[in-house]
Amino acid sequence: MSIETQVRSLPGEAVASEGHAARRLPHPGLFDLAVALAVLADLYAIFAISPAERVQGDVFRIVYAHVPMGWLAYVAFTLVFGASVAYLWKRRPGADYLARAAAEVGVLFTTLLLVTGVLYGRPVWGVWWTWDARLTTTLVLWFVYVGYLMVRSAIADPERSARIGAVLGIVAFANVPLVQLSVTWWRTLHPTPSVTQPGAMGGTLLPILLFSMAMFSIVFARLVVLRLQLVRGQAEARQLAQLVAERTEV
Amino acid sequence: MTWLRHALVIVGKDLRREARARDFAIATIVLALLMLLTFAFAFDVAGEHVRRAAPGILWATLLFAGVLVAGRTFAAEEERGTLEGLLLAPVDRGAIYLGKFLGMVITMGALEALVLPAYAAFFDVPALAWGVLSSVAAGTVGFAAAATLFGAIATHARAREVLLPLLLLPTASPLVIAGVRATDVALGGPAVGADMPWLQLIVAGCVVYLAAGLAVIDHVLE
Amino acid sequence: MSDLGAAGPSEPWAVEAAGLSHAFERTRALRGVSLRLARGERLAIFGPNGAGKTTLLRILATLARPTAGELRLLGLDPWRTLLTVRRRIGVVAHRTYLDDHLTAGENLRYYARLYDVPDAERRTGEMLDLVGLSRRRDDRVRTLSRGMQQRLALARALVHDPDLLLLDEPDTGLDASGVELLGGAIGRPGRAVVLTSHHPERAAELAPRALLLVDGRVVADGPTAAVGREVAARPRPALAATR
Repeated sequence: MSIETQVRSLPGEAVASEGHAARRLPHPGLFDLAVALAVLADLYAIFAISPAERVQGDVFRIVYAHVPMGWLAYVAFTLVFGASVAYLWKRRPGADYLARAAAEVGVLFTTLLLVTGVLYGRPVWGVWWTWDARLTTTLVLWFVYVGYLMVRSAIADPERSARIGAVLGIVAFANVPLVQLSVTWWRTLHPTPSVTQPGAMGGTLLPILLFSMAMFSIVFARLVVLRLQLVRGQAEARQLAQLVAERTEV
Repeated sequence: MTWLRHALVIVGKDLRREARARDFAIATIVLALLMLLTFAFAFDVAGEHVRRAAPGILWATLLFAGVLVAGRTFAAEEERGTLEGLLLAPVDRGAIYLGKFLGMVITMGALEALVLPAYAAFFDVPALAWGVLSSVAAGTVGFAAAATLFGAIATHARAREVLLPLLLLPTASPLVIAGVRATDVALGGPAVGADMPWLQLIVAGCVVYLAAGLAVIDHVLE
Repeated sequence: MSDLGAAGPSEPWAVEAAGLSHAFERTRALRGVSLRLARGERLAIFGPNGAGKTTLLRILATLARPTAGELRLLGLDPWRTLLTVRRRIGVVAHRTYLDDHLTAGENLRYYARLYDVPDAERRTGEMLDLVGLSRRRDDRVRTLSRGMQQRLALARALVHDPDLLLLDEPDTGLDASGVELLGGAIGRPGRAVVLTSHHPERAAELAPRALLLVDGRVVADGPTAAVGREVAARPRPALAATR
């Protein structure tokens, strides 16, 4: 019997069975199209519809990306927390995959958040970095979740990695209020210019910002799902390889 | 109260061992003093510069020493092979966490008892004032709570000597921020921020880290 | 000391394992190992290096989780009642689990307290007597010879009077009198013993029954002498064996 036939004839626990197909998105192509449209629409709104800010000029448009990414990074880390709790409670591998995917996308968005903060700060205030409360908190969180990813990859056993990852996901989240409080109090001693302090912009700022938020959310969701599928695929491939090795005579 | 008894048995054993094999403890103390010296050079300690840099120097030194002590808590035992013996025993994981945590607090306390007077002398600051002692004590407790948890986590991972500080430092940043501010105020620093409840923040950190550690330790040490 | 009475007829088996498998990354240490050990029964496990003996022992010691299969230790599901099960298991592994800067007595007392042994001090003395180390009670472990450390490790494993004793190659480096001492020390009615070994002749003195593990599978299970002959009959694996 070929390996494919042997594997297909395995009872219930085989992963390459009906259950797998059901977990895929019904119309992935449609989702990607939506993402492409969202990006185009957002670019149009940011560059064509929004006027330049009076004092800061075109640089201000970065805010339309900076703010949504900040928000979505927090969403990502909340997801990590939720998925971590779910994993420790029910031990479902899907929760672990979600935690991992959300952490990766969260770190990506946090990195971009820091970069856009820098790109904005340099022309507007002439400094590469400002220890503004939000940026500083973001930097700390960046380290925390990069640490999360590094620990996950430093633990060989997948079950243990998932368990420890869940613990970290919970502890990191519980620490966020403390970090924010301490950094905010610290910064009140030496007030620094904050990133989002636009001058008068007329009525277009808020609607475009909200629109941008929505478009970014679509991109975010697609990225998380993409990573989730990849992580799940890798795990299942590993399990499949083990099953095959177990069933076939070496 | 079996778990409390077990925790005390563990602390007792660890302290007895450290007292026997004194090399690590002594080296860490000397290293901490050396850090003070290094910072004196790094911050060009002369005149009014001292006052501004002093609180940070203290906390940076304690942080450095703390990371070293944290590394010992679990990793050294694991290398010696005795961690597995401990995990095999019918001991509640919370008791192990508590025992290791207390051991670290006591060790850091002993270290600080020697470092603080030296610090007071080197930088000519009233380091034994209540404000400094309370913030250092509270900060140590919070740091030890987090360090014990991350120490347990790091035993499972590769590159654990680097991973431990990597996890510990960002998490402990509220303690450092608040601690330095509280120390600054206690050493007669600027009036700005003097009325902020820095000590309360540190204590809140202690509570959060201890509670989190006790809550999740079962999942870390199976 | 032991709660033999509490165990009762509802717990005829010390170990019940079915289809135990262990896989880690690309290595498959165990493939569907099944075995049953009655209370008080003694079992030896033979097999070439890499056959999975240590992995099996670690799983029985609850130090590792099988990736497949079922296990019951002393009638309990170990992964649901870890502390209860661990209280009744004693392990002698390659590592001694001893702190080399503490004395023999301090090490034993430490573990006696962790296992909630009543009158830890007296029990420590008893165990040291059992393995012939009474005179070295106040000597630091690092001053003891390797053989003495092994004896102390055995005392450590027995301090809480376990109902299941697991030993990884305890007979390595022992002479005939050492093996005799070992046999006398580990036995107690109602205590099941599992030991891995590379020496069928010595193991025969310690356990009447044996398993042969090859490539993670049980290929023989029977009287030690018979299984021992199987071991001898097997071709020595070529040093450059590839898989």
